[in-house]
Amino acid sequence: MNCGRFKKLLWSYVEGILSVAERQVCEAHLTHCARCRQRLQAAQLTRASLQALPRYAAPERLLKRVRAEIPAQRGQPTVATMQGNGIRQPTERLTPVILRHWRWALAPALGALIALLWWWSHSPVEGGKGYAASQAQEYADTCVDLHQQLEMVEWAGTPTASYLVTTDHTQ
Amino acid sequence: MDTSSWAEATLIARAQAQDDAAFDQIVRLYVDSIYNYVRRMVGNPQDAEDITQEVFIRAYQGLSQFDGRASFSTWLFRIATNLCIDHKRRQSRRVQTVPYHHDDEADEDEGDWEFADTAQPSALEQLLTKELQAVVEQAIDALSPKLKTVLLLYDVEGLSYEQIADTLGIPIGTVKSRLFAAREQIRKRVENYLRGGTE
Repeated sequence: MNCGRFKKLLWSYVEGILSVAERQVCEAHLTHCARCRQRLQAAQLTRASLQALPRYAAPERLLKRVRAEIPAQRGQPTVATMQGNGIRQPTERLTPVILRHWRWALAPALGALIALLWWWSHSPVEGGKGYAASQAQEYADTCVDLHQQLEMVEWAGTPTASYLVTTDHTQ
Repeated sequence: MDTSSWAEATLIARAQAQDDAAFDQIVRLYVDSIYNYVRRMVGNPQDAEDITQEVFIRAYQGLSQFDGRASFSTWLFRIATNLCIDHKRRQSRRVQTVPYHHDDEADEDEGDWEFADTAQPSALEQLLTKELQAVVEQAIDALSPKLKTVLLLYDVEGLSYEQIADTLGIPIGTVKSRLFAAREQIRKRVENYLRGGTE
């Protein structure tokens, strides 16, 4: 065994999960390699230190905070739960989604408003009832004029004159 | 299913039926593990409290989606890991951190030191000084979130390779390689410290 092979097996050796044969080969290497003995000793200390790390106990106030928050969560939507990455501050959780994301709704609302204004300014209804009424009146007047002209033609007794009577409403 | 698993499954079923007392028991069962893990991940006690609280709120909100395929603790660690990594991302956007450059070659230089026989527990215990513990803690802090997550879940929280793979959604081989890399980084710092270096 060389040092490279030992380094690959080092942590398995420390954990004691090597086969008997592998362990014997490692031990044979260790008897004549001071550098790998250093590696092994440092690894053993590292592992022992990791296992001896002091554990932090959750403060009592944390339990109280969770207990206080749970009733407020009942009936809240669950879709976002496993999306998993965002951290919201505890005070934000009670805010409705629409209020939290109002900025995103602003752009389409503004677009809709502009479209409405454009449609309003270009609509034939612009000007309200006055515009529609004047159009109707104009049409009625044309009809009356046409009728009068036809009467005049008939009264004049010239059969060809009727072909001369054309308006925007007669083709 | 053993007794504790059966009891846990019963608690979860009750909590899923909106029994808040059952959920409270679940919180008490796991809050220390989750807090310890989160505290090691983010360092700051206040942030650790906020994130741990968020873990349980999200677990409560998602209880109906928990189908028992993974263990409940694995599921909680998954939520906690996501929140911690997100927290780190937010922090790194706010603060320009100085990356840790590790000089592998220098660490691998031959030295003339050798410990006492560590086969004897007393010698090992003597070397586990507070100073060495501080070195290890600093080395853990210097790990990237990916390596730190695996190291803490395996060496500190005692999860199996399979549980970690399930928690992080990565292959077992990746778990092993990250664990190896994390341990090696710490071991090299420990070696450096034992040689009398600044680490």
